[in-house]
Amino acid sequence: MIKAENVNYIYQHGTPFARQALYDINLEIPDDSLTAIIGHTGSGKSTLIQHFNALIKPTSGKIEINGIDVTNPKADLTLIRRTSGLVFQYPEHQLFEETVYKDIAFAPKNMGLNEKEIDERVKESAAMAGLSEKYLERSPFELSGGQKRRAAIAGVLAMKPKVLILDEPTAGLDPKGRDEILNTIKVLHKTNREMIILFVSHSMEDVAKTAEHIIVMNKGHIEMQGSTAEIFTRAEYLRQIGLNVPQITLLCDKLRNAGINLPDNIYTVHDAAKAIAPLMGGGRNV
Amino acid sequence: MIQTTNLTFEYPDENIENRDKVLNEINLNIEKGSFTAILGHNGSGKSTLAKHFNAILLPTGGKVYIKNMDTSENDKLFNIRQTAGMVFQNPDNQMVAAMVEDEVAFAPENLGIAPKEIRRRVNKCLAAVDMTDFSQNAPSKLSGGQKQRVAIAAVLAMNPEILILDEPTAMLDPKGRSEVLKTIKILNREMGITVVLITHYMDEATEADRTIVMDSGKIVLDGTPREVFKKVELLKSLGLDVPQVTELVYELSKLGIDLPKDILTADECFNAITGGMPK
Amino acid sequence: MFKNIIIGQYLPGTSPLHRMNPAVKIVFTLIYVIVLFSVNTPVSYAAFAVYTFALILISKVPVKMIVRGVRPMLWIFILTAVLNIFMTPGNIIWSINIFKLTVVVTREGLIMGTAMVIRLLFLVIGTSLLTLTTSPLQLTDGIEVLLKPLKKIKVPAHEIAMMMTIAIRFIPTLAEETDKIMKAQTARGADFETGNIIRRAKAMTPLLIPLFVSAFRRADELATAMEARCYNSGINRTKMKESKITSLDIISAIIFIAGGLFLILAEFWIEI
Repeated sequence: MIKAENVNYIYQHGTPFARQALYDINLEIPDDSLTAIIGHTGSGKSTLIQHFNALIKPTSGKIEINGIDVTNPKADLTLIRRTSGLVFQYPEHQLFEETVYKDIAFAPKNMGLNEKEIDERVKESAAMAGLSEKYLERSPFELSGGQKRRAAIAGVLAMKPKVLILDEPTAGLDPKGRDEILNTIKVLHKTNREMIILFVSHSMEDVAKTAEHIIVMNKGHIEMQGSTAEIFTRAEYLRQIGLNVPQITLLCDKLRNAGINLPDNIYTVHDAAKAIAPLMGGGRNV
Repeated sequence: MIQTTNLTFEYPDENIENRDKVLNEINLNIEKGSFTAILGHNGSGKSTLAKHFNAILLPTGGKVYIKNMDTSENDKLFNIRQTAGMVFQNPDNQMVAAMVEDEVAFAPENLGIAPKEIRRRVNKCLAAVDMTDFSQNAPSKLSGGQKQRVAIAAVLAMNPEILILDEPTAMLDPKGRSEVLKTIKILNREMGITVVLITHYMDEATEADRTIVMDSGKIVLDGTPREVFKKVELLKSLGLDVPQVTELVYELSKLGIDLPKDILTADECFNAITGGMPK
Repeated sequence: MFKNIIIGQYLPGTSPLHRMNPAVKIVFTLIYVIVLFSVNTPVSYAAFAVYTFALILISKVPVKMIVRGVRPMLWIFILTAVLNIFMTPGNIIWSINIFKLTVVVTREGLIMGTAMVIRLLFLVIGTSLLTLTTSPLQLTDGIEVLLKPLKKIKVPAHEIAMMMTIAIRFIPTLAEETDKIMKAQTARGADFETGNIIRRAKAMTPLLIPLFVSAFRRADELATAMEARCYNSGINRTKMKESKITSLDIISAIIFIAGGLFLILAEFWIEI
């Protein structure tokens, strides 16, 4: 469980350049959840997730991760960083070893594990990140963009974190690469039920396809949080705060406003087709 | 404006697995004043093609003509690069100067233009991308969308007739993407600049007059966005997106409901659905 | 501690010193340093102090800032003084035996030590004034103008200036990138802060390699982007902002050269 209570964060606190990035953040993310944080650039979403890894300490407020008080000045940083694994935006830029294997082994090595344990973890996490074993002995710089990203994600999974946080995992990828990564996240969630997965995105479409819970951030505040269904019923409001609402959500909103009865939980094209077809006298073979 | 005849390109080293980047017998003619989007997944050859329009790459077979200038003729190099200006993907890696207005002045300075004329062009180009207020800023203080607009202004300062943009929005957030797209559309519609936009975002391609889809170094689809996006199944098999409502119409047709296949926007779809409902 | 070093920092402003042609300012700074090291009487140093103080006042740079900037150099001043005082041979005015070593202080040593400290002090203040009143971009322009005559002997004046401009442009980008990679590796358990020097140097590998890789990638892309905008190593290149010599430069040149000549002549006259 991730818990934040009244968290405020001010960059360069106490200087003339001070700028508040987070205002009174309160949230609770339960175990076994796949949560998305959505908001545009400057909404504070990246600042917030760095708190969950103790890379940033709040100016005021308290954060707890799996019962560890991250904000305690005496907190064990090593333990925190093993508990919550953070995958940065464009994580492939952090690859540095001669081989993918060695790069994934970096974190477990830092943890002081023995070779056998390291070997197990490297292979296991590569598989979890959807990276085929044949790439392990290659140089990370020879891989394609999508493969590099998987290698970097495996490098964090190798710590066996209880919480996996990904900052814009699909940034810069083409539609195919994006769908593959989102799918990997979904599979990770299904096969590792005890792991909390949290990812940051600015694409409502990606979020609709993937997440179960959504936290909407705007100008350093949490605007809304709830299940994907709850959030998507407020499409108009999301649009007002400058988020790109998927076409399907817009369409369903319009249809509902025109008095057509549609269920709330339509996020994908497939959902919409299933709901609309019967209304038009079709859908006999759904 | 841009013409290719049997354009073929291979990387010289056969050991490198670049086969998917090779261009294969591309024949293309891009009209003056048009807005063309070239769509394809990473490695489909779209960026390689774009680099030929600016003589950054030269064909290993066939020809590329920019305004009837053969790109393989070395003495026309600067003429070609002035005629077809190019904007790149990473906004940080194409800025030379530590101040916005100096960045825009860079190209005309290279061309040896008189200082007063450079100043005039810098002011005009910054206004064209709506960045006049930031002329004295350092690039590092700008947002991604602002940086790309400056990069566009920096190319416009050469007075090009063609603007080639190689995935200019791939690294931007939705706000930056819409800023850049808006700028491109204004330049095309109001200043008559021929635009070639390389992208993997289908929503950008729907804004163009013409959409070309590439895969494995070949052109697989070429037409208006409506004609192209109708081919939902083909596009999906190529790893590309189609507008959600176009896909919805396609899915509905599988369920026995026939609506026009060339729907692109939510409004069009709404009208089609409400129009097709039993009263 | 690096925060307080003022050499290389720019303080925007509109004072006459800010408005002067950067090339002229660089030349003045060079003359300032040459004159500084060629005079050696107390009167000259006093004149120098008055002159430097006047420049600070004209530049409107807060005196407090100059003092703060000089402070980190204190150890260098002390070291210079000690070395000169004890190492210069001459008339012994004081000596002491420490174990079997005789340490002597000479009259010449004292004079030399004091002179060197004064020179260093003015050197730091003078060069700081240059960078405090000239933006890095103007400085680059100035250097390019001054190097131009050297093109005849194949000094790549334009390239040097271009490299400096690009370096200035990319410092913030690379600083941000360093911070990001450092955080990413810290999240994977890297430790940049503890251990002895060798351990810490080794711990830098996960930071330096990605940084170099990215710098090379950036350089490659930048080169393509420059070529696409018809960059041709400065051949037939013009400049939007021509650095012109204004009446301000001419007036200050007259005052400056007259002052310098007067100092050197006065010194010469005192000696005979």
